[in-house]
Formats: sequence, C-alpha cells, structure tokens
Amino acid sequence: MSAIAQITNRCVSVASVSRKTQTKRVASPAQASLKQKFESAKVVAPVVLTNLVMTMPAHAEAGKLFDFNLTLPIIAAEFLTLMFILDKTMFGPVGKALDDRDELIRSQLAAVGGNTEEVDKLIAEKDQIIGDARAAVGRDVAALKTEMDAKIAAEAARAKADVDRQIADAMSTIDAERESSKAQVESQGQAIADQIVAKVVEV
Amino acid sequence: MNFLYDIANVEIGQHFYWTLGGFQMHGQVLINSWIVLGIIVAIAVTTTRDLKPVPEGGQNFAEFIVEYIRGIAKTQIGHDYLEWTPYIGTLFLFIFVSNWSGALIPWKLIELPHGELGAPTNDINTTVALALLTSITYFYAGLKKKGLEYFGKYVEPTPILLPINVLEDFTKPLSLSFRLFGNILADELVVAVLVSLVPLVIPIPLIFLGLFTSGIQALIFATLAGAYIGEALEGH
Repeated sequence: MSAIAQITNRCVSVASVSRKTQTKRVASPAQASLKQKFESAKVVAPVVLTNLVMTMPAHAEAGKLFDFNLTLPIIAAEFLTLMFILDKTMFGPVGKALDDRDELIRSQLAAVGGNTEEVDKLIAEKDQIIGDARAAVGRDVAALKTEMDAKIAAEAARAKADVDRQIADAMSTIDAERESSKAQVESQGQAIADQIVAKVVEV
Repeated sequence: MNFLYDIANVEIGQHFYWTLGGFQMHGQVLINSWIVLGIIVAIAVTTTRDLKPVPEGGQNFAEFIVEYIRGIAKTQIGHDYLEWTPYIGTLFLFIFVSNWSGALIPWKLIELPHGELGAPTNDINTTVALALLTSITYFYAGLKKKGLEYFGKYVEPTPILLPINVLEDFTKPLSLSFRLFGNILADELVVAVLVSLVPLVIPIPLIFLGLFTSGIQALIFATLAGAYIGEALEGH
C-alpha cells in the first residue's frame, strides 16, 4: 500500500516539475534557471546531502574569484593531515618494502659473487684431480711399456740364441758330412787312381 | 536538451558559503576536498594493507606511485630526498586527484544553492594554501640544514642582488598558486563553455586535453616544490 502511495507521489511530483519547467520558459532566463535549480534539486540531487548543506548558514554573494577566507587554513590543515596519513600508510611502509627488496637483491647478488670463489676452488680441485689421474696413468703406461719391452727383448734374445744354436748345429753337421764325403771322395779317387795305374802298368 | 544545458551552465566566482565563528568558508571546496582526501586515503590504505617482498595486485600500484614520486624528489633534491618525499608525494597526489576529480566526476548532478562543485584546485584558497605550505617547507628545510646561515643566500653572489633575492621568496608562492589556479579554472571553463555551445561529442577532445593539462600541472607543482626545497638545501 505504502509502496503504491510512494510511486504515485513520485509520479505526481515529476509531473508537477515538468509542468513547472514548461511554464518557466516564459519567465526571464536568469530567474527561471535559479528557480528551476531549486525545483530539480528536490528531485535529482541526493536529498540528504542537500538538506544537510541547506540547514547550514549560507548566503549568496556576488561572484568573487579572489576571495580569501577560512577555506585556506582548513585546506592547509587537511593537506598536512593527508601528508601524515600517507607517510604512515604509503611512503613509509612501501618505501621500506622497496628498500628491503633492494637490500635483499643486493645481498643475493653478493652471495652469488661469493659463489664464484667457491666455483674457482672447485675448478682448481678438478684440475688437480685430472692432473693426478693423468700422471698416474702415464706412470702405469710407462711401467707397462718397459715391462713389455723387457719381455720382448728377452723373448727375442732367447729366439735368437735358439736359432743360432740350430744354425750352429746345422753347420757342424754339414761340416762333418762334408768332411766325411771328402774323405770318401779322396779314398775313392785313390782307388780309381790305383786301378788306372795298375791298368797302365799292366799295359 | 534543456537538462543538458542546465548541466552545462557556467558559474564563475559563485561560492557556497558556510560560516564558522564569524569566518566564512567555501563549502563546495571543502566538500570536494573531503571527497578527494577520501579517495586518496582509501587507495593508500587498500593497496598497502598487505605488503609482501614479491608484490601482488594493489601493492604494484602503490610501489609504482612511490617510485615515481621518489624519482621526482630525487631529481630535484638530490641526496636528502627521502625526508621530503612525503611532502612532494602528497602535493602531487592531492593536486592530481583534485584536478582529475574536477574533470571526470559529474559534479553538476549534485546541486548546491550557490556555486558548484568542481576541482578543489580551481579555488584560489586551495592553491594559495599549497603554495604557502611549500614556502614554509623550503624555509624550514634551509633553516634546519644550515641554521641562520641560510639567510646568507640573500647576499649571494653579491649584495646588490639582495632585493631580487628577497623578491624571489614572494614570487615563488605567487607563481605556484596562480599557475595552478589559472590552469584548472580555465580548463574547466573552456570545457563548460564549449559544452554550453555544443553539448555532445565536440567537447570530448578538450576534456582529454584538460586531463592532460591537469596531470601536467600536478607534476609541475610537485617538481617546482622539489626544486625550491633542493635549492634551499644546496650549499653555496
């Protein structure tokens, strides 16, 4: 019921306003705009605010651009309050957060710089280990090589001695055989010579 | 159409007066400055609620702002810039948000009996307040660093320049305040006049130009404040 009443009320007030604005056109423009403002203020503007400010002592004056009054110190005080609040909520804490982050990044960078020393140490250690391993391998290889050389030399010497002995044996057999065949040839030659002499003498 | 013309109505030098203890104040400027303060504080509080070493979400925005302002302070002041960062940063943010609020928020929808809501910086009281604070700040910076020797700068490099050096202390706040006031008021007026002539589409480029000018003005004010502080701090 009350809602319907409100709606009808509003309709009536809107209608009356529009009727008034229609009739205002006839009046002088300055007066019309002033009254129109009063009228539309009742409908358009947030009613509470308007009522609040209208209850305060207020009066109109001619247009003034350079009108210094209590507004100035009040604005200054408001500005100082704002500065205090912003310093406490924003410039202080956020500035501190920024500085802390800078500090953190710088310390982490320094830690990375310290790491290079460690890395250098590790690299030196690695070089050392590789060098040691190379030397050990070199020693082993040399030892193995001398051993092999010795073995090969011994083997070669033995083989040579063997061959020499066989050659010497063969030579001595050949000599002996030559001697015997020589003796045989001589004795046969003697026999043949004796036969020839005997034949010749016979003749 | 009538509604649009009503919105585009231009009012110059009309103020919505409040009275407190016999003194007058400009209500529309104060209301808007509270809104601007609310926006800035809300952003500052929400973006910095949970600060982490690796930034997330709003913290990136807050860090971007702080780094930007630190950059301005560092180029202008040099070595001791951290002490003056809050002042310069608050100047920049307050003026920037004020200017942009004037250009972006349709204040005309909220009607006042007299005057109209707009950027707080289009009132001479605001800009003079900021300029005077800047003067006080650079005097404070110089006196804090060098004591009474600070006044020796008036006879540097030669005593003949004394009047000009003294004059400079008056021209600095004057130029600061009038530059900001004039730019912002003119910017809003140009847009308002153009809107009253052609309500649609045509004023859009000028609104963008106004946003650009507003940002530049905030930067100029903060940079000059930094330069003045840096000048007061540097040794002769």
